[in-house]
Order: sequence, then structure tokens, then C-alpha cells
Amino acid sequence: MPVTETMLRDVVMRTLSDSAFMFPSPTESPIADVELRVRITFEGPEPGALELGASTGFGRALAANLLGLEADDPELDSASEGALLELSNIMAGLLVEEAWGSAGCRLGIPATLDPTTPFPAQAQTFLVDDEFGLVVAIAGPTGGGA
Amino acid sequence: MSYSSLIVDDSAIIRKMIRRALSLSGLDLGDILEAGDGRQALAVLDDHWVDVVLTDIHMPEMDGIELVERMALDPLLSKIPVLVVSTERSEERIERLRRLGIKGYLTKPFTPEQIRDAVTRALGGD
Repeated sequence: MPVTETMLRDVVMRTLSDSAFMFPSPTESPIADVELRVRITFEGPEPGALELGASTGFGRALAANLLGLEADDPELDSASEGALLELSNIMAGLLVEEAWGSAGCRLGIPATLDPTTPFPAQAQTFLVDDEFGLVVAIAGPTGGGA
Repeated sequence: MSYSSLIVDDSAIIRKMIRRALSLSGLDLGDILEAGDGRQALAVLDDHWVDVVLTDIHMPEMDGIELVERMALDPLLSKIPVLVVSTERSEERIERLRRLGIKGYLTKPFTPEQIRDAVTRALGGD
């Protein structure tokens, strides 16, 4: 089964709530302050990549929740990008299982992208606490829309 | 008796998350050592004995499968129980790791309770 918009949205919301106790809401509004961009490839029946983009504020909030730190902890400055990388890893694992079961899908190693890299078509946007934006998209293996 | 452990993951965030989960688990913990990939892990194990290894699969340089394979071939290191903590859900790979003798498999995301239960089982407890 290909990755559908509904499947992707459900995985984003489940991953954030289960991993980081964050509860995003889908939004139609574009996210203007994308400062962090990550991508993880997957191989399987339909190879591609999961791409995430977020503000530094989202990254800090995510890292704080993952690590159990206070919102003003100085460690968060260096942890926000790593937190988004790991979020992509967890999401991709859940997504390929949701789409193709547990047979034969392999994940790559999450990597950072230039924050100005255009998103693939049909990117979905979310808001956490009405404040922090997150963009999520599925791309083809060479960066095109899937 | 406290247990020493080695966390092997290329993500510093995940190493901290596992360290935090272990500290919240209620287990009597001694040293918690860290390595960023399988090669670093083997270097750590050259110098330190640990009671349990928790390792990711997907890592640069040397991945978790090769680490488990190398540990299985070493008379001393093969005695250390290994838990795999990964996003990988391929049954084929999990079965391959089980055949190599790993003591448990946790998928991310995980809770401190899951870490505690898996480590307890790996150490031979209930």
C-alpha cells in the first residue's frame, strides 16, 4: 500500500504524542520559519524519503520533551537538530511498517538538509501548542515528489 | 549489585534518552558508557567490562548487526547480553539478530518501563 496523506498525518501525530508528549494539529497555514531540515531515506516496495522541516523553537521544545529538560536549559541549543533527526527516524520506522508491514523495508541514516531546500509537493503542516510549526513530506528517492 | 551498561547509538539524543530511561527505570545502575557506532563500542569493550549492551542497528562505520556478529565470535564478549533498540522493524533482520543471540529487541519509541523490563530479562531476571 503506498503512503497516503492520512497515513502520514496519523504517524506524525502518533509519533509526537508517544515519543515527546506533543500534540500537533494539522494546519493549512504555511510555516514561515523553517530553520531545521532533515531527511531519511527508506528502501522497500516503493523507495523514497521522509522529509521534515521545523523552526528552532519546535526543535528546542522537542528536545526538551525527549530529554526531560526544562525549556530554558542551555543544552537545548545544541540538541534541537539531533532531536528532529531522531524524530524523522522514529516516524520513518512507523511509516514503513504502516505502509508495507514488517517485511523487507530498510531505513537509511537521517541527515540534515539546507533549510531553504524546497519541500516536495503535498507537504503537510502542523502546529504544536498553536506556536511551533512542523512540515512533513514524502519525497521520491532523488528528491522529487512521490 | 549494580549493573554497568554500554549504550551504542550514533544519535547523541538517543543515547541521552536511553540513559534517562535507565536512570528512571529503578534498576541498580553502575557505570553507563556510550559509543557512537559498533567500532567505538568494541574499543570501549576492550577496556571495560559491562553487564549489558544496548545497541542501535543503523550506524555509520560499523552497524549494530556487525557489532553483534563480532561480539558473538569473541569468547569473552559473547557472554555479554545484548539488547537491540532500533526503529528497524524488518522481521528478517530481527530474526537474524535473534539467531546471533541477542537477548531482546525494543523498537523506538520506548518507555523507561520497557527498557527496565528488557534489561531485567537480559540480565536473567523475571
